[in-house]
Amino acid sequence: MPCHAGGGTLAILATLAGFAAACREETPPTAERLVPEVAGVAAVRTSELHAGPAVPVAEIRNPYEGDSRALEDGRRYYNWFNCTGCHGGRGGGGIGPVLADNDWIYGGSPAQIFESIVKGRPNGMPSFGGQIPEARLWMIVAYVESLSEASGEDQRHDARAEGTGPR
Amino acid sequence: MRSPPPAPRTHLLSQISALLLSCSFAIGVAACGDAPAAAATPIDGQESARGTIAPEATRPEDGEWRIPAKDYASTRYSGLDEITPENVGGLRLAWSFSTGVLRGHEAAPLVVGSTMYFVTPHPNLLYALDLATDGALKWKYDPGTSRAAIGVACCDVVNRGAAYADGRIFFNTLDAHTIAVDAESGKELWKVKLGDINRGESMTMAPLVVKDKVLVGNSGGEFGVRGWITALDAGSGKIVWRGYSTGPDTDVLIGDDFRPYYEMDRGRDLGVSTWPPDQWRIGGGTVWGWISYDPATNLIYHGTSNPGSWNPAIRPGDNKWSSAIFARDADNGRARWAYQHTPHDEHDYDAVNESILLDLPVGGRTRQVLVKPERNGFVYVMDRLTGEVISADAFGTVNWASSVDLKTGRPVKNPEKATGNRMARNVCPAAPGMKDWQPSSYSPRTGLLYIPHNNLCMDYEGVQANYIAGTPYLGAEVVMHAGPGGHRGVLTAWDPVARRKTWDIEESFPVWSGTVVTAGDVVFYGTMDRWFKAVDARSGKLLWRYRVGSGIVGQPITYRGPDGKQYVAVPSGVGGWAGAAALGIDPEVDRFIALGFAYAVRDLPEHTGQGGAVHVFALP
Repeated sequence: MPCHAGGGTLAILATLAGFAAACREETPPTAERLVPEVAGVAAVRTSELHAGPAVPVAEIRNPYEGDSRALEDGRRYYNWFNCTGCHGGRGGGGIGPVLADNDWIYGGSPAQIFESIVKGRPNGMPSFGGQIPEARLWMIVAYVESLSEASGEDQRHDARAEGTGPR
Repeated sequence: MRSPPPAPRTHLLSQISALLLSCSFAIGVAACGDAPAAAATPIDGQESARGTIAPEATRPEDGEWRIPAKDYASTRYSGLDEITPENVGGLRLAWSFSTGVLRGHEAAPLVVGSTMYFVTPHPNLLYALDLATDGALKWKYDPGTSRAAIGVACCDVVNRGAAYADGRIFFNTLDAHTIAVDAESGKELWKVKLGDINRGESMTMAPLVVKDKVLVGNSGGEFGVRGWITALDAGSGKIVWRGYSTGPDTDVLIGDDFRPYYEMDRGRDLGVSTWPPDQWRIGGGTVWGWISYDPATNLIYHGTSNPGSWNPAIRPGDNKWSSAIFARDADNGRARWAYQHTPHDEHDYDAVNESILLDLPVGGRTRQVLVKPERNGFVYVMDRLTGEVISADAFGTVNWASSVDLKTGRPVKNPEKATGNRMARNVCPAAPGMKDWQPSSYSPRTGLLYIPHNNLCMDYEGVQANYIAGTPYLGAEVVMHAGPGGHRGVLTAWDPVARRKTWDIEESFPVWSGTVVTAGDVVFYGTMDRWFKAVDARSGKLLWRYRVGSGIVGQPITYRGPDGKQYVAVPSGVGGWAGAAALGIDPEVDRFIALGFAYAVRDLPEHTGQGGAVHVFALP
């Protein structure tokens, strides 16, 4: 499978060579569909506060949950679609908010992260709907989830150890 | 025309011993303990001749501050002299005003008549405050700036100020609109869209009004934007001309009357031929910095940003006209000359800093020059008529190039510091340069340029870049650290005639505020650890300081109030690229964030939180 970046509207002018080498064939079920929304995602809440009694919403799981190869691909797509430029390669934030913590503005469940990427958010998060095939979206979601999970004290100590402090 | 009064230069040697006693040539704040935070370092007491301000680019002191640079020569020099080194210690807060906005406040307040105007960072609110009633709110104008524009601001959602002319306030918004507002009523006169956030374009610079035209430029050098400067009709907002920084000569407004000084800048369509095919379309060269104007020749001077992407390996060639300066005819935009400070930039050395227009004694005669302390670490003295580089001297630690070859105009690069698809370690200066946008001031009384700047070096590695319109187009991983000495900021008093510093003050954090200097021989500037400071313009001695609510990254001004007294105003509100570490991001997790800056100042949150305000000071 060619590893082009998705919709024809994408103008990719930079070199693709290095990236293509890193790509591998993806497993179907949802491979090349350019789906801006999956069933049920529209019902995803972005607030833990609900008016009246809670209405049950079916949990939507990441189809790549626990798939380490998909996680690694997700890291590459996260870079390739320029998530890094705003959120940092390890999710430390920048133009966009920190992802390597447990503070989620629009929710940190897989479906909520999926929806943030597909629909965009009003304070500067672009909508990537129609630009990224659904399978790759879920791989990116897997990587974003992993950033949050990795945001424990151990990692912070590691980062500090690498640095030399204000010199 | 102003004739600066002759002022005897004090013999600086006599002050050294006192400074040694008080602060032992302090290294930044720490060495001084609780004493005044920094000490000056005079070099020697040599006399040298002084330059004067380009006569037609300045005007007699009127007590106002109508444009961020004070005058067309961009001196930020005020003729007011009520506040002096002797009495500045008595300066008191007169009033303050909270802007209700949290991000980096980089703008200069303006004062026209008895009104102060201030434009905030996104959402770019414009406030008018009545000086006759201690800052009572006259009106507020809200342009309704798009929230989505936040996503295309590389280095915080800043705005560098408005401009006043003929009863109107002009300013730009982050979502790439220019707006004219009636200065008296606050009513919108016109609003035009000049760029598209979905191509990564934003606007952060302060306009300059020349005759009947408003000059503005775009931002977005980290988003694959194609840079331009545009002149709008001040009455209607209609575009009169637009000059691009890349592409064919017809787009750049280069014609038969283009006379660059150096061979390297001559040739047809260099804005195309110095790039790989089509890369110029996303090649940067944005015009997000300062513009100066000399009415004597009707020429404007403006710089252009870094080329895109930050990985130079994907754009072999000189990449014109990125990291360059243009002299253009103000009426039609046609380029008279251009000079590329940093051909084929490999380190994010934009060239958008202020050009200060002076008539300077050089080699026994007076030359009409512009002085431009640049990001690449050199302070350029250029003939402003021809574009000749008369001198280019490092004003801090520079190791990416050893010098500028005055015969070819090219920097003499150090191959060890080349980037591309490799890691270059300890490159000085770092990506925000020896000095970023934060503007210098010049006093014709002391002959010194007061340069607020950085002392940062970096590790820089070019990486893959993928152009997707409306998203970052970066292509480098950068981590910055303090330069030699360990301090991260400096205020340098630079003598452009002697071509050396006269004194400097080391600061713990990058000095990201502007400076202003007065006829009372006092220099004002602010620090990110919340100090607003007054120092002696001749010696650098700290005279007074005041702790404001949030770090200072904005531009101080001074003016005569309706009561006849001299006031000093400064915005506070940490942010900007330098202040990103205080905006809730986490450089401990990721050292590359905020383009590598946040890690270098990751202790900033221990000194300041966010919050925008304007503070006004006066003698009792």
